[in-house]
Amino acid sequence: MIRRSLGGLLLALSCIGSAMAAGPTCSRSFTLALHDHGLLYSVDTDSGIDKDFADELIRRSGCQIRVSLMSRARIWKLIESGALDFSLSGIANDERDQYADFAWYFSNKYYLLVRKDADIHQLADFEHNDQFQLGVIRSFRYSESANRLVDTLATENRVTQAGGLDPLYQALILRRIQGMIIEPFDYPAIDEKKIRDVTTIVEFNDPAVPHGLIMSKKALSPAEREKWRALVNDMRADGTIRRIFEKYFKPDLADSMVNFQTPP
Amino acid sequence: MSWARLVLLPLLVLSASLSVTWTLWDHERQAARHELLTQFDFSLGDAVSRIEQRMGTYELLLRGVQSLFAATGEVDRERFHDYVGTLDLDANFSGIQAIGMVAWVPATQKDGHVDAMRRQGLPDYTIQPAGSRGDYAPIIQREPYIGLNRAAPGFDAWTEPVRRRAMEQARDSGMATISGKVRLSVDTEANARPGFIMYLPIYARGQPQDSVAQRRAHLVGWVYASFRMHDVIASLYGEQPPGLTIAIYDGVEPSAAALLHRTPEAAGRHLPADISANEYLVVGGHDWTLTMSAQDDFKDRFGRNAAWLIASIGTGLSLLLAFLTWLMMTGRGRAMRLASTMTKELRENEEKFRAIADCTVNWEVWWGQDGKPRWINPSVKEYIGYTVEECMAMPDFAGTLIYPEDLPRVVPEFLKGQQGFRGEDLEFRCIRKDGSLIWLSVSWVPISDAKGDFIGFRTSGRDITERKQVEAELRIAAAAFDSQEPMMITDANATILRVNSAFTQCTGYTPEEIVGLTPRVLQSGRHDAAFFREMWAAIHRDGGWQGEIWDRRKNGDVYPKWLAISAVTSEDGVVSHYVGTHHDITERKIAEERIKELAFFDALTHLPNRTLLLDRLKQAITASARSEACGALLFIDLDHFKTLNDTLGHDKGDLLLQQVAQRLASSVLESDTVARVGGDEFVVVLGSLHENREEAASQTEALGEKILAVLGNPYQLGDIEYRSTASVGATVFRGHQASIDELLKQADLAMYKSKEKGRNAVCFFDPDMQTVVVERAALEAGLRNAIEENQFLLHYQAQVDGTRITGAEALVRWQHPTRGIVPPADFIPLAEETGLILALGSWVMEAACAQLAQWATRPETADLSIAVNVSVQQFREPDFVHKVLAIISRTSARPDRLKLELTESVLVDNAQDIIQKMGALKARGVVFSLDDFGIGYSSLSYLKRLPLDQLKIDRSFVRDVLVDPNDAVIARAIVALAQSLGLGVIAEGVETEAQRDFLAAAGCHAYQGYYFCRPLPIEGFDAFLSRLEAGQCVAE
Repeated sequence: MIRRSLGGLLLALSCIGSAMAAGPTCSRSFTLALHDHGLLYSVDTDSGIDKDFADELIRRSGCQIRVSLMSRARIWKLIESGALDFSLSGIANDERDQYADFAWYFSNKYYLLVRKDADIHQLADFEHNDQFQLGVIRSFRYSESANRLVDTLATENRVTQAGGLDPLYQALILRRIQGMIIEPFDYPAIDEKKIRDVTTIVEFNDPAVPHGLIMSKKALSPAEREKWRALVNDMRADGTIRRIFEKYFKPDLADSMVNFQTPP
Repeated sequence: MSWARLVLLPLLVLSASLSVTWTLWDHERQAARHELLTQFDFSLGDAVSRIEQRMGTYELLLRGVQSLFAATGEVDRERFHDYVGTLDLDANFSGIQAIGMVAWVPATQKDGHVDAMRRQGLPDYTIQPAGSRGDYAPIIQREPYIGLNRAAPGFDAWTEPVRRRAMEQARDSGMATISGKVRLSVDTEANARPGFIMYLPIYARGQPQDSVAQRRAHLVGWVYASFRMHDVIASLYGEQPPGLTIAIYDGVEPSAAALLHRTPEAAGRHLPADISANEYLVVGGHDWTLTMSAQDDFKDRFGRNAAWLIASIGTGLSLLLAFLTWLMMTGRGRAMRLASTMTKELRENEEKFRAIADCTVNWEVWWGQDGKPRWINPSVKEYIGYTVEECMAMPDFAGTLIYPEDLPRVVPEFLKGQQGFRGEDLEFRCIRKDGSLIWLSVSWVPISDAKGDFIGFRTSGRDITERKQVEAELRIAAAAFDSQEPMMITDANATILRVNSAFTQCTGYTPEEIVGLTPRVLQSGRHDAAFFREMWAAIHRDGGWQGEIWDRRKNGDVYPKWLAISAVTSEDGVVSHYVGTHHDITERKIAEERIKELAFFDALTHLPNRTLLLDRLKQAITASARSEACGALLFIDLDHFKTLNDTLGHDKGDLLLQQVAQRLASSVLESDTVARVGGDEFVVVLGSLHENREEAASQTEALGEKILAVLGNPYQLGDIEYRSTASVGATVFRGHQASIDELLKQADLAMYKSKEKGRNAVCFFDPDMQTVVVERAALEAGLRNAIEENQFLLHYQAQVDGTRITGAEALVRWQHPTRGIVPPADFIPLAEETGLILALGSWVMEAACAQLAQWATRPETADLSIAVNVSVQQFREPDFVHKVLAIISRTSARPDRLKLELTESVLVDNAQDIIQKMGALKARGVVFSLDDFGIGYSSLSYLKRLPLDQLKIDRSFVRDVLVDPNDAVIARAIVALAQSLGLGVIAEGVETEAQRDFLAAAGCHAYQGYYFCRPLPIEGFDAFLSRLEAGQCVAE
């Protein structure tokens, strides 16, 4: 009797495992939103890392995922409300963890891009310079020190928000803002728009922050999320993500971004 | 608790709480700010979201329109119109000015386009601005066709660079693209609101649009939506976003040129720029800058003012906390101080209690319920002399100490105390160890233990001996006050406080009437102000005053009183009261007058007496010395006054004296003095006589004669007429030549001289008189001596009967050492005057009786009698009988041989006494003989009464019996009288035989005289006796 039940149990478990191995259930069509952010996705070119990743995701899962474009702020709001199922390249924090689950697939450090004439060489300088205006994208969070910096300046109303990177670059050039926080996928734009000439980069002494697939807890059940996470892990495991990254970055940079220790 | 800590800790607390408050305040401030900012940020994000959403919606709308054309591949005006109509822009898509179409007209197709347009119902269609350009992009339709949208189509958007750029971007990306700031083509006014246009490209149907080149090649036109930013925002918020001002700028630079819309700001409501932010919107591939500023409304709505509340409350609480801390610190300090004060107080109380309990004022005993003392405080030794140990050792403490008389009173109270009652002020005496008594006042209360049970009682005693004494003294004082003497007590201002009943009796004022007044009401007005000043001066100086004062009674009587005022001072020497006692000295005054009178005046005659006389004499001498006029002193002595006294009695004598005094007083001047100095002696002092002594003497003599004359007038003494004479002795003086005593002596001597001269005369002092006086004084002294030194001796003169010697009369002789034999006539009167006669008489009696006893031893002399003369003075002695009988028994003489010779004068006074004495002696056998019968004041009734045995015919009759027929008759009468009365008779002074014969013929056979025998000393008499025995009696 016991043996039978045990056998049954084993069978069920294996089914589950295979079911899990089978990938997420496509009970419905899912929504995934992209936002315009440098190499992650560019509206003009309609391409980016995130786009590739989304395509891959669609292909692998076999589910219907409708991809749309919206501002990052809106994405987070919809993820929270459950109107949006997925987004990409999100980083976690305590607040987000409440409504979003993540499946990491890359990590990177954050950097502070400052104008040269702002005379900022280290983080502390930034804070003490009353005239310093920092530009951030609405709803973006960064690494710990970067967050600290942003929050500190935000209380002093020295943070200018924007819906996208483009106006920030313009503002930086026009001295409307003196700095902004960037990630590696912002680099080409910087190079392109001649920002590099008038700016320097200050490092945040934080470790690289993992980014991942954002899954709405409200929209997806934990089991489903696990399936999707497994999917992402598969993508990581089989180097799909690396390949995507290497399309846009130099190999060593891509390497450093893709190889990371998964946070617990 | 040091000062530093006291201040430091509260300060610390204060600073800590202040810092906490500051922290909270800061935190709150930051939180408020953060919240505000968050709210602001939210509002900003909300605005951005709304705009993005709306723009997205508009994009969708356009996509719908694009789809319309993409599906049909044609630009159909009618369809477009209908389509837009169904959209119901106003309701669903407000903010859109127009949805329109722009046709892509390359240059080559321009004319065809215009024609087609004209054909389609726009007859006046032209591409504006006119001119030929490379390409044209005219607006060919605007829907809804109302209002401004009715403007003529044909505006070439390609000419406008902003539009063109957007259209190009849209064409190339295939995505909706928003233009920059434009002025809408329909707007004709100069100050039209800024607008923008969203373009969506329309490509030819079925053509590939994968690359930019392809898109450009297949472009048909655009569909666009034109907006005024103001309308868009208005449709999002209403006219005014609440509390916020929004400005939207085209691009990333907020410049006036780029301003698309601005919320009209209310005047004067500006906030600091820190609540404003810019955000860059990326909408439709175009950047907008949204500048949002928060207004007061915003801050009011979303702001938190808790910061200040926190600050104030926090500060308040901090201060309170600090204060509390300080209170606690000081409280602790205070508590400590309080504790220490309390402990100190407690200790002090304890000490006090112990001191009180042990102190010497009260005597405390704690008794148990059994009535035995449990604890006695050490002051017991002072109270009763026993030590505490001795007291505790006593078997019956209470009984031993309480005075037995008070025990019955005390014991019941003691028992009550034992039962738990309390009491107070029980006064009783206690016996001290040394036996003396003290008064105690004792109170007692019950004692309970901590649980409240009765365990005993406590007595507390005070020594009230002094108080008792004081009470006694007060009683005495009160009694004294109520004495018979009038007393008045005033305060320091002489206001009367109390008077006693004697005062009321004396003055007539009751206490009610006089209390509150001053003694002035009593003033009689007899004393001047100086008197009272003196009086008060004395009071202030000596503390009191005594004196005579005349006051007025209530009824107006003025009376003298002796007032004694004493000042009562309090302990510090300040006068607090005056006590006045007085007594009515009216009586005393009268008495004084009387005393004065008595002192200075003779009671009987009211003449000045000796004392006053001396004073007057002194004054006269002084006056004489001053004025050099002579004065005179007269001694006036009434002749035979004694005799008058003896015969007529003293009352007549007094009358006489009074009348003499009157006569004398009227005889002299007012300024002269008449005084009575002795029984019948008067003195007159004359002053202001002539300066010349002889003249003065004459004056004096004249006056003396006058006096004699006056005094010689008959006096009426009752019913007797009496004639008297006086003897006057005078002496003249001038100034202080002679002393008063000398003058007196002189006058006296002169008076005696006058008497000697025969009386009834004025005699002046002669120095010779002095000697007489001196001699007399000497004689008197000698007489006294003689009695003591036995210088007397008896001579016996024989008394014969016929021829036989029956006895002898004892005649006393004085053997003066220098003067020899002094005859009786010289010293007997002196003896009688001086009273020495008594001693002398006693001696004579004794000697005579001794002689009788001696004769009794011889038979021939045993029957002889001795006649002893007894003076009136002797006989008047109360113990005369006793004396005589004592002498008789002592000498063992035969009483019947003793013959006492009396004179008639003995009977003048108190005859009964005399008779009784005589009777007593006669009873023993003594014989009495009446001497000097016939002369003097003989009274025959006396003869009857006296138990006489013999009459003696006076020698004066016998002397002239032969010559004077009167005397003969008298003599015969006497004999006959004697015979008839049965008395014996003896004739005295028989000197001749003829006399004897006559007498014998008359019937008198007993004789005494020189004829028969002279007085002889005893030896001689004895010799005579022996001779006589021989029968012969020869007078020698």
